[in-house]
Amino acid sequence: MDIKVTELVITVLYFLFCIWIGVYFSKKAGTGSKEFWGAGQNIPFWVNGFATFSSNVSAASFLGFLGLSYKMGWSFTTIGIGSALAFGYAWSTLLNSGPLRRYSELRGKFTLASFFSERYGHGTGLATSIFIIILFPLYIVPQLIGGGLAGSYILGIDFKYAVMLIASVYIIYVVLAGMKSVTWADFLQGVIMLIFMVGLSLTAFYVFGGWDGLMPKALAIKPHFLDINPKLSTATYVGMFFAVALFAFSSPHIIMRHFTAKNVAHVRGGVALTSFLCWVFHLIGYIGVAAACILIVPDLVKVDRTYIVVMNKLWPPLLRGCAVAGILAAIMSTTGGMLLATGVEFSDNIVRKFIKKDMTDNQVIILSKVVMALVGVITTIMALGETRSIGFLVALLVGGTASAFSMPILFGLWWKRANRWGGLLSCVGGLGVYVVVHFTKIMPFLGEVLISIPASILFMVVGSLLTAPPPKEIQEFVEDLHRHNYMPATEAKKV
Amino acid sequence: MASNHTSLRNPGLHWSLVIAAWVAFSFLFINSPAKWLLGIPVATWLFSIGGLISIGVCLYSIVAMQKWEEQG
Repeated sequence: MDIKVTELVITVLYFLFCIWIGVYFSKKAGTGSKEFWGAGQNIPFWVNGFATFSSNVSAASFLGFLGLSYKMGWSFTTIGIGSALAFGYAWSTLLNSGPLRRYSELRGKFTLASFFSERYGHGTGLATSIFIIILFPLYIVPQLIGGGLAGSYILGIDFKYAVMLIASVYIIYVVLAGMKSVTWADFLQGVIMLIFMVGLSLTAFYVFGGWDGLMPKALAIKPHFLDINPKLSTATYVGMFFAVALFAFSSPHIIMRHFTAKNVAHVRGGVALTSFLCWVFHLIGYIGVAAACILIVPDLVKVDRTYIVVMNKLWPPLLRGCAVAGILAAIMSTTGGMLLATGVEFSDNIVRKFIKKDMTDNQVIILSKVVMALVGVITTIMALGETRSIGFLVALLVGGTASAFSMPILFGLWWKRANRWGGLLSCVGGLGVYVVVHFTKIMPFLGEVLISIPASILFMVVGSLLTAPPPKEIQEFVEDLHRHNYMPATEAKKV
Repeated sequence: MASNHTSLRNPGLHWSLVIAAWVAFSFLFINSPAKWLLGIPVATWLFSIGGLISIGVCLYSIVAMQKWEEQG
């Protein structure tokens, strides 16, 4: 193999820097769950905005989705990914980020499953924890495969070594210092990713003579690049939009970031910033890179290599090395957040809640570090042997997450009448319907959520209305989540 | 029943419905034959601009929601 030394040296230096962040914050971070899972709840909006953006931009964003933009047209990724994320985070700013941030301060909890446990009872909480422990490691695997492929394409090292290199770095910095190091590493990675995607797009426009020089030529080769692709059904466009938007609204590893913000204004500001960054990355970034690739290689077969083709053509080795760091950063930031979510679900929401109730915060953190290391190693081994496509696995898990969690979050925060049966049926039933629709192929690929989300709403409404309303304290708890000073109703009465 | 909906006056909820209506409106044009600006169809254009407008709505609503929550 032809190892590319400049790119490899820059990547290794960048990885060492990421490990240093982990070591630095492991010394600086205090003890206790608020520090480890909630990053001390003092993250400002500009850090959280980039960190959340970075958690969303993954291997698929630089490889698979950009390849889709090249193959299916920029309009497809604009509607199905870029705008979907912008809209999803806009809804999150308006509907769930503020109340959930209040929840974490009121109850000292930092996971979605904890919220569901309090709102809908332990059944829904346990189901959520189990879904996360099963789904998230499966999501980590395609990320690592993407990292391995990117590493082998660009650095010229073997796929297996690339996977092991990336896995060892992100496992170290996640296990060392928890959410604080993940947040700051993700902030840095978010900045790098934005610069190198938008930077390559602007370079392409500059080199090919601006919009008038680039776009008419690209459209002459692929007439549907800016248009709706006639090969794709309307259900695919609509389904992908809602799956991605509701994933941004409800994914547990994104929700965990809401809990780390300084206060409600900062969480809302951070999510609004994420919305903007996702828009810029996918709309401005993709258009130039995908169009340039159409001109450079009009009949590219391995479309996952779109970014690499354009980068190799337009940038010198030094910049290419930095861009490689950007791609690998995308992988580590997503997997880091998911590994953290898996660790806390197992140790806090299953072991402490149901098996060993007298565990201290520190024992829970130690157990979750062991779990995260184990899950990290297991997913690495799975990635080394996995052969399915990255895009397929990611799309499947995005739709499943949206189907299970989005409606229970929305109704739990905004409908006091929603009760434990409604919550449980909506969560388990939503995912169940998604799985059934996917395997029976009633809808085209990516269109499954068009059935599973309405089903989740129906389960919520029917389940809640056919059974008794939730107790008064639960209804007061929902009101507290919308109170500016969020003093619990019981405390407010005393005052 | 009305007591179940005390949060319905929150400006955040109102604006999210406006954004949802924009999304629904945009999808109505998904197969529109109209083409502007080198073939950008109406649906893509509506989604692109809609995303940016949503972000503006969010920035406005952060202040509006805080005021609403302060008033209880």
